[in-house]
Amino acid sequence: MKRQARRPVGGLQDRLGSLSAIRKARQKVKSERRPRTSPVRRASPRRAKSAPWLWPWVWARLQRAFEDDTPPSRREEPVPPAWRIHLALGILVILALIVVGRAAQLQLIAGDGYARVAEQQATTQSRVRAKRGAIKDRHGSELAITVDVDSVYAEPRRLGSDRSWLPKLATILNEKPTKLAKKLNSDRAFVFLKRRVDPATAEAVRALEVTGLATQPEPKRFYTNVSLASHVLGFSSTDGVGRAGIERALDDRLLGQVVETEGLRDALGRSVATEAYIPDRVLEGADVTLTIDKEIQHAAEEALKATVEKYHAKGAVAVVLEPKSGDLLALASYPTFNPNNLAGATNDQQLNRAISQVMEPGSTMKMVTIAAALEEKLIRPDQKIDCEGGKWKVGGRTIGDANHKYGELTVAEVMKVSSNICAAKIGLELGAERLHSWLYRFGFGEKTGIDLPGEVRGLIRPAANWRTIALANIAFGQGVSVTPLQVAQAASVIANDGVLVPPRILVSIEPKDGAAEVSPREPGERVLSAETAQAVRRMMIEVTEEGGTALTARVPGFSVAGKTGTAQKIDPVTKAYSHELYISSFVGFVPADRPEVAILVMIDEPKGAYYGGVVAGPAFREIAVAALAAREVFPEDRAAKEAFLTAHRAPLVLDEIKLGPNDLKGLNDGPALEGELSAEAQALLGLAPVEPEAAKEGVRAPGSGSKMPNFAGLGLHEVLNRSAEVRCDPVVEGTGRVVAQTPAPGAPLAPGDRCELRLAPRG
Amino acid sequence: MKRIDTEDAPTTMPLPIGISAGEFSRNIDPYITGAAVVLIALGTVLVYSASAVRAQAAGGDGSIYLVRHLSSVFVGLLLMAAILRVPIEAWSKLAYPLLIGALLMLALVFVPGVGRRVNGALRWISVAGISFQPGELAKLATVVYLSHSLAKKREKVRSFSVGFLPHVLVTSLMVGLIIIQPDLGTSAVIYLTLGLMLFVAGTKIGYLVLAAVAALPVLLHYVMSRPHAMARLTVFLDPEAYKRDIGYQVWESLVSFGSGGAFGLGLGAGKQKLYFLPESHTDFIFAVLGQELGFFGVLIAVGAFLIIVGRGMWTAGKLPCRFPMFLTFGISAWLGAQAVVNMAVVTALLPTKGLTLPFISYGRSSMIVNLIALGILLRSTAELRAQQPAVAKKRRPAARRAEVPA
Repeated sequence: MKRQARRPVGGLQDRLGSLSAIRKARQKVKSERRPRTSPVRRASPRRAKSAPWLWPWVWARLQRAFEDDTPPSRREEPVPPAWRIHLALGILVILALIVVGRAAQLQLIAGDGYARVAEQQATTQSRVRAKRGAIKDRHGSELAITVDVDSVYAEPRRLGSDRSWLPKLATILNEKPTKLAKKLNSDRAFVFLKRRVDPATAEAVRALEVTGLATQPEPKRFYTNVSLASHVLGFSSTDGVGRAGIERALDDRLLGQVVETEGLRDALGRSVATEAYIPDRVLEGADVTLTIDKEIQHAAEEALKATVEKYHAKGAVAVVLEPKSGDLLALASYPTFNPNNLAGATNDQQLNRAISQVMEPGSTMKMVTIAAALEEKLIRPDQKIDCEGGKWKVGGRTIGDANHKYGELTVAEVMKVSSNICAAKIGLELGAERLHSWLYRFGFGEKTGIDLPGEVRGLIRPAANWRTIALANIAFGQGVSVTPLQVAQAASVIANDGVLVPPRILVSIEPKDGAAEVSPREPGERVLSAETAQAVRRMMIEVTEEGGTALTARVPGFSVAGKTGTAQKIDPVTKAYSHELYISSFVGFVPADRPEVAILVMIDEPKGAYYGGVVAGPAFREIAVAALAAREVFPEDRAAKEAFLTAHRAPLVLDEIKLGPNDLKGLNDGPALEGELSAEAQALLGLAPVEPEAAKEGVRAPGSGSKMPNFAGLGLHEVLNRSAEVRCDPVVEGTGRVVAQTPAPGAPLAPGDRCELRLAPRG
Repeated sequence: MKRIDTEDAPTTMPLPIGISAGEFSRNIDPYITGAAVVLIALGTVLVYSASAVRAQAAGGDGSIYLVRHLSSVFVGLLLMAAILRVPIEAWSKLAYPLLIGALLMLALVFVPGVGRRVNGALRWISVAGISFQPGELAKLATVVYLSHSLAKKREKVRSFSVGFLPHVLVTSLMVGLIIIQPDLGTSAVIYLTLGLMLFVAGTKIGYLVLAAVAALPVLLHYVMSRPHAMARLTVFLDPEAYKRDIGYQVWESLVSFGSGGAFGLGLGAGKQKLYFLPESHTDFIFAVLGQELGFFGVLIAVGAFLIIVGRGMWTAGKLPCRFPMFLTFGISAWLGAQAVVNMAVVTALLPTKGLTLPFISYGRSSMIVNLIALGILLRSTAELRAQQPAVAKKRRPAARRAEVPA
């Protein structure tokens, strides 16, 4: 239709032909065409319908406008020469070639360099790490978990110039506005303003509704029981890497898998579309179940705390083992720290005294000496030994039994009253070689291999270097350095009828993507015949009976086997065994006939009392009662069970058991050594850290009779001099002259005690 | 109907008025059409690639720019379809209305409430929710006006007072309104087109050189008096040294472009658009093209532009009449100049200025106006092709003959 309608107009070629053809045809065409293009014709409905134009009227106007009435001659007005057009095109082509050349230079020659820059700036550095695994106690109670906590960050490039909200933000975050302003004005695309804030703070920041200021969740390690078992758990750094304890030992398992997002980072430093890269759950770190029993751990820590506070001790350790399996039920070290907030934690607080610090064990070692001699058939339990009336010269030195002068004692009685002289004699009977090898067989001198970082071996010198006096000393536990865990392990050898099971702390590792890996139980190694172990056990039971050194350690309803220890420490100043500084300990197991738990309690530098039975015994009892109750081991006898439960329920009172005069008589576990150790021995033992300042200044070491001086009327300068002399820690208040002091003049004073002094202007 | 140029004889020829759709489609230039399709397709993909992350961050829907881009392509194609049916000569009549309309719209930019400021430049008018960039229309209007005027003045274009000065003045009025927006890129393209058109019209090269020399102090003053223009010039000379502050965009553009290597990272795989490269979907889309398609893609894009421009100019060279010739040449020169300037800016061959890459960049006014220009180009090539068998061969001797007696 359309085509037909337009046919009369003629095809383009027909109508135009060539310039000359047009010229010639022009007149004719014009006259022919005029009527066709008349308004009348075009206004006809058929034409309008067939026309492709939506605006026929406009079209008609346009059409008429193109009708040319110029004389044909003028039509040949020259068009500009084509060479100019071609030259112009050439210019543009050259420009395009320059662009292409530049592109080749940028992309083909320098392309690798730019690609590296692009890769670098668009690749995220902040790798995505999945959640760290939880740490649980043996009953599945969570000790350490990871939770998402909000962190406040800013994108300085997106922040506007309006900073009116800054003071508000400073108040919310409790930071100095100048400090914040510095961060906000930085050139960086992303900056943390404060990490891991509480929910209220995060909400307040969000409520400010400032573009470029926001919060994002970050994982935070949370130790649910604050300081409980802090030395076992250790802690992890803010970026989620284990730094101490189990957190460090099992870091590679606990760590959530790192996702190398490989991914994109935008110019604002945010990672783009990382969600897509994280599979759902396989990436989270494995959970870890420990042998620790939260309840027993708690009891142990409480008992230590009470003991340390009572005796103003420097530190303390408690270890609770299950002898049969070696499971570490509790490991407490005092002082403790809060792994949730490491800001104020000192190195001393973080020290795991159970495995990282050595000590001389003292008389607890007698159980090893006696067990060895019995096993070697050198002595019989009822064999009598002469205890030399309390003083015996051996190897050019004198050793002694404190408080009591014994004549002949059976081997069992030696254990019961803890005679140093008789123990030394048994040791000499064994000889250096054999005692040395027995120490090793009981696990001393080597790491126990527990899965905790920082364990030390302790130090046992080669037997060839043991002179007589050294052998004698070692027999009652001086002159060797061991870790508390090793002592507990040795006690569980006796409890275990002679089988040494190395302690373990790990029950299982439970990866999120697989079956739990249960840590294998070691069968243990027999180091002692069952008969000998039982004989030693019977002797150790006597220790807690009438006349023994540890009545305080008795547990209602159960028989307790144990051994006290009171080791003399080396005075750091005099470098001699001190009569002031002791390590008081008690190691034992309960119930004695079928041991459930073996417990070691060790108190470092108690003041006011030092006998192991007095200082460590009550703590042992408290822990033992709690441990038995936690494991639901109760006396069968009804009345005894009552007594046990009463003791269990009773608040922690360490001096509950009053000591009669007779009991005190039995407490023979006292100082044994006189005189200085050789420098070589000290160095070997690693026991004598020298305090350089004190040594240089020649400050007099305080004698046993150090007393609080009378500071009244002294000025500040004299106060400081005088307090340095008596090695007390002055706490001064006010100015002028001393008008009041605590403690009162003449009161006994231990090094490091506080002496509070109040000063006032004269008159 | 009263002719505007009654004084002068018409410069036009009677033209085929009602070309049927069938005839037209037979005569449509396949090279230009193919190149334009390639460029528009490339542009559509690149706009989506470059804007998706930004769009998602802003509003959640990653395809919002894509949809807008396609809508302007659609509107542009509709207009183009209509314009294809308008004989080239018709534009001669529209020269002054277009010129005055463009000038009015440029002036409207400065009317408070109508003009809209984006990124510190007052380039938009916004009426009843529809925004438009008069600067884009100004390019078309200038080319149409110049074609009309140059065609009308015939050999007088060679004279200074008739052929040179009025065109420079009128164009400068237009550019003056554009440069105060400020929009250096559009101004540069318009002047470049003017220069090329005057050259082709036969203006003495000395005048053009003179104009360039005269413009130099003005340009210098402009740059010196405007800190951001000065900064751009400094950066242009050494982008890497200023990559952290004022040279950021140029540096990122180079990084983006260069990192594509020979074959690019693949469509959508580029990383620079993650906020590293500002304006990545508009003025700097060539950098995204460089990154995602590499040197290979650059060759395709440059080749496509050369086809459009070359084919357009070739057509202009064959057209027998002055006005269609100027219009066809002018449009080709404009599109070519704009493409080459944009590419030179992205590759740091020229200081930064805001300018879209025709048919590729996101930019609705630009896309629509460019498609209108493409429509004119296609129309004129079609007209020539329709006449070609007879006309094309005879034109050259005719032109030469004209030169000799003159």
